[in-house]
Amino acid sequence: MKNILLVDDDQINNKMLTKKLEKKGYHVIQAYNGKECLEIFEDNITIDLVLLDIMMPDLSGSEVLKRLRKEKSQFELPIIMVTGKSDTEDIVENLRLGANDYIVKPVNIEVAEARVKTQLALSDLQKANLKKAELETAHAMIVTYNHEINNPLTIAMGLLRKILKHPEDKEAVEKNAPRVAKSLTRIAEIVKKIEAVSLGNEVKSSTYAKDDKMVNLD
Amino acid sequence: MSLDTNELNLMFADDPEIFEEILIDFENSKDKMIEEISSAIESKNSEALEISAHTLKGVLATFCSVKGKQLAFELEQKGREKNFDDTSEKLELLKSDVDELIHSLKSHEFSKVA
Repeated sequence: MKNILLVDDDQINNKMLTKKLEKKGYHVIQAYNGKECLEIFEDNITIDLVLLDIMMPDLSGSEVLKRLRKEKSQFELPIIMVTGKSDTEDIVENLRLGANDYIVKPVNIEVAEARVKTQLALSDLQKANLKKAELETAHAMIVTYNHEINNPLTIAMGLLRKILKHPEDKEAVEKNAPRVAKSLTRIAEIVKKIEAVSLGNEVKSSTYAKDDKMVNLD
Repeated sequence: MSLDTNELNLMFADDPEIFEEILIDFENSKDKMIEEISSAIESKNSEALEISAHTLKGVLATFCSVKGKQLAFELEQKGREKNFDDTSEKLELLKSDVDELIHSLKSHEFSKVA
């Protein structure tokens, strides 16, 4: 069940909308001013969407919107402003400040539900896309490790086994030890490159095999 | 008539229990809401007038009031403009309209919207 935070100082409208949304299957958390709204976020309660009245005493809906947007993007937290029909200037200003949408009072529950559903669906889609991208990057990283590190690691381990099997064979040790060192150096270089990629803003990848991608290290 | 009954049916015909509950709340809180507007006018506090009138306007809109909502809107505008001319007269009109509205709401019978 989705959690909607409804912020409105008008207790009658707050109650009416809460009950109507509950009948539609949402869990509604009520706040009666901007401060209460911000406190709910400080308490780390999971909120999927905020319905935020613009005109409230002390801390206006616009100010609350500004503060919430410093922490959460439009996709992380959809915010729908609730406003009077005559307040068109407020609507434009609040959309500019990062509101996802708006509904007008008196609230038509069918319109409100349609807009709430749309914003929740967009938010879910974006979150799913982000998760998919994260998994793809993690998978590409694993493929990269396997591909880039496996070869020098196999060489190093094979040579090391030879050395350990016949440590008295000085000629073989002198020949193989530098090759082990070279392979290990190669692995160290790859690890450094992967670390550099993980610190960057963007991860570029290329197709490695069917359905497999690899992180570009160069 | 200060009540848009068609709009009221659209808003509450499917939720008469919610309507009854918030109507009781309105009846219990209307004096306080009007008092807040009255105090704002007396103390010439334009910001308080704007916000208190705006709040009552929202409630009146919920109950599909026509005249009362317009009066509350005008008081809200007066507050925004820091202009207290005619505000006491408007408040008196608003008071009697709210009483009339509550009377109409109590006797309203919902017809199901197709």
